[in-house]
Amino acid sequence: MKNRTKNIIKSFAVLFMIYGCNDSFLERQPLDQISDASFWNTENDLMVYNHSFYDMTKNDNTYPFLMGHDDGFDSHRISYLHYDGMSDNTSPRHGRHSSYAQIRAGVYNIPSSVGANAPAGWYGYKGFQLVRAINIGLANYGKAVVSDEVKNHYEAEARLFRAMFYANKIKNFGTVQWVDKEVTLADEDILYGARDSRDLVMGKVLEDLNFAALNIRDNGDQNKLSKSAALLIKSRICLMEGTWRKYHSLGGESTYLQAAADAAKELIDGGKHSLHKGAAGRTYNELHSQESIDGNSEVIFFQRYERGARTNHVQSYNRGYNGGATKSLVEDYLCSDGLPTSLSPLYKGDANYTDIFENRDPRLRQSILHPADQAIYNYGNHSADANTYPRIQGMPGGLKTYTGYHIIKVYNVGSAHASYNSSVTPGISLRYAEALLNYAEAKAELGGGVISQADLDISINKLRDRDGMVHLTSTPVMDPRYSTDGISAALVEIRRERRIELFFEGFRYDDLRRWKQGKKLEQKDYGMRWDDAHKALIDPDGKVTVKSGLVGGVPYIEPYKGTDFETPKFDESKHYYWPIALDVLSQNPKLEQNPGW
Amino acid sequence: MDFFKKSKQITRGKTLFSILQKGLLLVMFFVGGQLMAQQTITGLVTDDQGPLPGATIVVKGTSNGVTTDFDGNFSIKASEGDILVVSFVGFENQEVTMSSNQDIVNVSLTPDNELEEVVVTGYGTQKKVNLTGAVAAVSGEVLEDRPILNVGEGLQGVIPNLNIDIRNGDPTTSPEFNIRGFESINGGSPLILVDNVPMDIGSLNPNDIESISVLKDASSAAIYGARAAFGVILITTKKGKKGKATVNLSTEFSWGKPIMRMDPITDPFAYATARNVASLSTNNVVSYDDAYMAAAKIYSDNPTPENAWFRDGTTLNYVGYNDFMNTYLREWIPQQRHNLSVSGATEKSNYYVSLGFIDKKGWIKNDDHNIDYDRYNVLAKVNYEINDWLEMDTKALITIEENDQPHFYNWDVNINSFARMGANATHFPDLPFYLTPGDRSTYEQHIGQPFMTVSPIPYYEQGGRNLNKQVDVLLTQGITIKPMKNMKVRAEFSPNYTYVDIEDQRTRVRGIAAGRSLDLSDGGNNLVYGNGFSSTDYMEKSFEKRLYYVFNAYADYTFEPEGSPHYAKATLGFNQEYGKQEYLRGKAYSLITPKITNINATVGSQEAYGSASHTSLRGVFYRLNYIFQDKYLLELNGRYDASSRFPTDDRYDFFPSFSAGWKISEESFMQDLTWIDNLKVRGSYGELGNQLLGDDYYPYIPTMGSGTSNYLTGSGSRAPYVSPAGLVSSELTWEKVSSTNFGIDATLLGDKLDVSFDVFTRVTKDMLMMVEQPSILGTSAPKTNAADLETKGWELSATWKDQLNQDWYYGVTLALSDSQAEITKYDNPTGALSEYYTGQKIGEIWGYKTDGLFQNDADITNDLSALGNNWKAGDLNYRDTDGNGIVEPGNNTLANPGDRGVIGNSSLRYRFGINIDLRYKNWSLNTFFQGILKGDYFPPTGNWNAFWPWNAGNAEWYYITDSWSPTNRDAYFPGPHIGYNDKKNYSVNDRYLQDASYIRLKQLTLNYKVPADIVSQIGVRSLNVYYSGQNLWDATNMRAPLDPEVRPTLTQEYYKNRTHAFGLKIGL
Repeated sequence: MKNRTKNIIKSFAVLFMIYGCNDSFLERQPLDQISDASFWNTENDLMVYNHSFYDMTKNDNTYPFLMGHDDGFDSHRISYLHYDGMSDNTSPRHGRHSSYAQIRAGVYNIPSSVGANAPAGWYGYKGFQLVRAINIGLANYGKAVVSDEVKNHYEAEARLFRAMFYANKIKNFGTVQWVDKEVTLADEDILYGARDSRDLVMGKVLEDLNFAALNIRDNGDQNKLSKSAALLIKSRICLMEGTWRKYHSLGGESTYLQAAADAAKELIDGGKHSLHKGAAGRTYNELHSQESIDGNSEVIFFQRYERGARTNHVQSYNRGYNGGATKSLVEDYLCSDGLPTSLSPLYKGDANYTDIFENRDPRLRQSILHPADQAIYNYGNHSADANTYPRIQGMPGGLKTYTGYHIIKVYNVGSAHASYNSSVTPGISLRYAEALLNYAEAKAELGGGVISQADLDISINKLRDRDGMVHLTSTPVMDPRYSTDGISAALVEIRRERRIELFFEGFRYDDLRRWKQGKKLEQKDYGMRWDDAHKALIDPDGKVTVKSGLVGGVPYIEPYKGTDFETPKFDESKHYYWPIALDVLSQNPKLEQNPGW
Repeated sequence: MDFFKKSKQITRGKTLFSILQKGLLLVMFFVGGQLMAQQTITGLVTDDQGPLPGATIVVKGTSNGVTTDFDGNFSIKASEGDILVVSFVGFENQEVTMSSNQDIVNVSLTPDNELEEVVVTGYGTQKKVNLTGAVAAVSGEVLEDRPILNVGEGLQGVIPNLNIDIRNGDPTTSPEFNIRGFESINGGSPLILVDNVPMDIGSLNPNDIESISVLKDASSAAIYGARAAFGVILITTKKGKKGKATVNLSTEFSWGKPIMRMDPITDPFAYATARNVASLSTNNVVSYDDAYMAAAKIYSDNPTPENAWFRDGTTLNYVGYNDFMNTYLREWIPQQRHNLSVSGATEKSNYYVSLGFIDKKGWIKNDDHNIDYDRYNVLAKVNYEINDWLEMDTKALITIEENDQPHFYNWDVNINSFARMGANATHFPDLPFYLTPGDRSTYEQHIGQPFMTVSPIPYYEQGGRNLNKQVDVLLTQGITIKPMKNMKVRAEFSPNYTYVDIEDQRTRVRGIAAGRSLDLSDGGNNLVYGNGFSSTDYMEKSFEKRLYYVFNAYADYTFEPEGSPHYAKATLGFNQEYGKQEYLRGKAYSLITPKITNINATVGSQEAYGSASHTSLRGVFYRLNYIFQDKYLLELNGRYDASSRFPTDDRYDFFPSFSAGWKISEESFMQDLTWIDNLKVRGSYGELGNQLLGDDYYPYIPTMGSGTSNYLTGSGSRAPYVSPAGLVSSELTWEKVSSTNFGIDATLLGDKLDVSFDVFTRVTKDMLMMVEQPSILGTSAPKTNAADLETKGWELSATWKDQLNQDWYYGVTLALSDSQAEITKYDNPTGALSEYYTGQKIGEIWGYKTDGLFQNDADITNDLSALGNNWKAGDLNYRDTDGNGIVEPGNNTLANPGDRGVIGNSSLRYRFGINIDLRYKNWSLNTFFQGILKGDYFPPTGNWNAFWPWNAGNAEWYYITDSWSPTNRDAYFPGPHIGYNDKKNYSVNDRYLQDASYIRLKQLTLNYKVPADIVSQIGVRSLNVYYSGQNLWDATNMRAPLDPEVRPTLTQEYYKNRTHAFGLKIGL
């Protein structure tokens, strides 16, 4: 018995030796992840690290810049195509877009959480993950064994993202906390700190933009940031800041306006880009409705979609959700003589629906459906839609609007009717035309409302030439509708050009805010004329359910009549900035809610 | 504590084995008779039901023993003065001293007194009567004769404070186990061990289970150290028993009916009328125009297939009603279970082998496309004594699960959309004419073609499948050595290998891109045929391999000198575990044809993904039991543990516990109180660690994320990326859980009443907290050990049972428990309500108080703009509690919650189970009710969630009958709004807070045991037939369509069933 016991104890001791005294048994390092220490060596390391910025920012809800379209069901809410719903350009009535309508009508509240609805939920005060990623990158690029040119390129790319992030927060929330290092839990002064001043943040943004424009590679890449992209972004952000400062009386605008003009001019002078030249009579429309824009000379940056990799369903949703263009927009297109509809003898009025297309800026008929063009655009609820257009909510069959003005800019029958989430509609985030508009506006602002003909000829008149529209002169006639805006006739026309050219690309709402023209959003939206003649013509069976209202004694469709959005408000003391969500504030009350909220 | 009497494994079959045994006895008889001067003693062993075969008779102090034959007879050689010990599992031993010339001994065995019941505890067993910790145990019998698929279903409500939630009726959904309520803000769950090995018990065969023990307090669980913080569930599988070989065969067929609490509006006219009211109120437009309404009226009055369609210009519109429930859902879901087990023992070995098979179908009516779940279970166990000091045991536990279900294409065409299919068409109609009489031939080609927009039908009829196969193999080799008297050493090694194979086929489906309206303006040419949600098609195949090794070695020594008042037992052991998981997934787009579903037969882009992780654990543990005078009980447990999940310096920790008990009833001053059979008080304290961090295997190591983005940097170029490492805390360590338990056990009135009551406090300290940091941090905060929680509760179990006479027996068991948790420390400097805060009761619901619905526009005096716009009569009158004229949410902090306050608590309290057992002669009826007495629930308000009128696509009659209108002012719901446009009445409030209490008849089993004389005629040992129903009845205050058990989710895909089962059990 004793011997046996000994043997047993011995064998257990051996077992313990094998299993017990082996400390590495408890040392388990990750098997499938990269550690910080083994990274940051080659140019490829820097490149793939910066790819994480593209990966993050393709979430346009959190990062509403370089916007494209969200994926699948989320295509219904996040895309730059929906963004004009916040402005007087379109009248979205679909329930899923009530957030856009709420902003447009000034009836939105402080959201409880930053994950809630727009604004401040969608496009809200969030996304500092990107800032952290950028700041960590900036602290580590130096470790790589690569040339300064390489390092500077990736640093420039990172700082360009940071500039876009901060400029976007400034635009929507007025001020924001600036950080340029990795924040840790020890940084209580930052975690629980107040927002930094607009001056400080935008000063830093300008530094980032300058560095980026100087150091990023001029590689012509359309799906990654390039020198052209940097210049256009710089002109966009600086124009935003310059005009905001000027019209909101914050001071210090000239630096930004000058930077905006310089950046745009450098891009123009570089000569690498030109406006899209397409089929005659469709050149403007074609750019936006093409599925393939690779190598297009006008497109500086786009979000690429491809079957089996990244797709969207945005057109399918948007065609039903945008509600149609507004009377205000349609009437803003000039007549072919270069005069506004309020002045031009060529304007035929709207007594006849199709008359509005006569003698107008060619872009109108390429943006809004002329009934005769239905076959050209294959417009409708499907490719062989035999319904007559326009169609208005309540009418049976076909594709319906709330205003009567069907938007055909971007419309592509293949994309709009593609099977669920299989569309590859590209997201044109940066295009050259904007640089021309930015340049003209910055120059005119710098010139106190005056711009030289030469500057117009290298900018806006290039746009006019594309479609055969008459040139803008440096001394246009004041459109009486805008005579009380307090700006020169030249600026009126430059702003009009911007509205027309960039319609449906998500600029209008931001433009009105930076121009301090929020009061324009207090004007009700209307659609097409809705007198008995039109009813008889378009809706003989009396099916239309949208109400109408009188403008100057004439009935027009009034898409929001009878809804919560019937009487739009714009409280100048609060609506220029969005409210910050409650959960953000409760975690750091020092951020403080924006004024008026 | 044990509700169910221990099973008697009575063996009454003549087998070859028993004949051999008899022969052997005969030989022994002759041999023995010649060697010693002994006499032959014959006898009969019986129990209250008759002869007992397989009972053992041993001459005490010798190895001379026999077993009784089929008729309960035995014969043995013994001398005068010898003591015969007669024993049988489940019965009390009986000793008979031989007197001179005695040659006949008849013994009647009485069933084991429950007080002698032995309960499985950590790495050992303990007599129930000597337990000092909070341990509950049930025999596997509780799982028998019930159409359950897994152990969780069978244990729901059985053991107080063993809380089990089963989300839906999907057999692949694992039940969630919890012991004693809210564990930690990081979650946590009990450690579940099958024969000492951690396992997912969802796929275990309930029939293979011998017993289940639940270790609730720290003292009983401490031996499992760092994983046992929230209790341990020990499952012991069956093994062969001494006695004759037995063969048990059971077969059961059941039919389940989905529990749907919906009452859909079946009349399109009523639906459209009500919808228009809601739509007008919210959007000021109607949803359905006059033409539609007129057509709907016609259909409503005369619902023919032709009337389901109406012509509006060149458009053909659907106004019918689709009775999807009856057309596409199965009324009865079939399920079958078959089990075969063989067990037995020879002198030196015993064995148990079982085979189990389960087949459960899903809810789709079409048999070819239905969901099909199959499971095969094998358990094989052999135990053999090599010699008198060495024993070996080998076990194989194999589970194969296969599930075949339709591929999930999109929510819009999932079973959820069944609910809103009512107002949509599913197929191109077969009409006498379409636009004009005589045009039928133009459209004939389309007749019967499926619609793709909201109908799931084409997707499951034509679509791909999701095939899921899981194989789980657990092998155990154990060795037990008895090196000396009273000492036992055991070592066991168990590799557990799990292999998961998932194939997901997203093949293309084709049909008409329409839901309810057809544009026929171009003679059908403009009907769009498309792929709906299936245009992006792919094949995805993934494999997962999980290896888990467990090594246990432990020894115990019992000190029990004859005649001494002292009893002591020491256990010492070592445990080590290692797990490794590897995963590989491949995905290829664009199938060449939907008919060939192989990743090779694709032409599109390809993706590959892989992952791997590993973790290890090691511990040394001990237990000391000391009993003095069989009255005073003391137990010490402890474990020194180390886990790979923590940094080297914080990896080790020691978790001690102790408990004590006093068997008052054994005291002399109690002896006069004859109505007290047993009375014991006990208390325990212990500390445990929680290392259960889910899948976070390396919480202290910062790693960079990496992957391939679908951001395209060029044509066909997905961007590979590396993202920054998150923040980690370098000094991370275990959460500490200390628990205090006081309990009292009593058996009274001649064993008729058995009561057990426990109160406990569990403090979870140093909880790993991911503090919600201000967003400027730019990442999730690192987990740090920084928050505390206290959970208090009690549990009661009581059984009353009585054998009234020879024919009648009844027993009632109640299990009732409660717990409540409160945060006692939490770093939330701003008092943000979006986070936990110190003093918070877990489950608190913050919301507004209300004063009914506004009856007139003039009643609206407060500023409600913070909650919504356009207030009018019929809307919810939120109370302005601070009287400032504005109803608002404040800044969402404790200091300023606006007009909100705590209006309820979502914790489920007073969970109960009631079991009623009734037996008459050969009949037994067992009913089991289960439920919850207290709990609040505010239904989620997200779009498409059911409950709120017009918030979801489906519509129920109560939307119409119970919504406010000037003529229905007492309605429960506000005036109708389209919910996804206007949720102002749905801010969390007390009016729509639901009472989540319920009672449900979980089980009703009627069993008939065919009498022995009939059974023997057909040549079997025993025969039982039974009916068993599950979820047969319930009562709740929760408003339909909410189901109190399914509460947490309203997007139910797989309904729970009311099941009726018929079974047959044969013993050979």
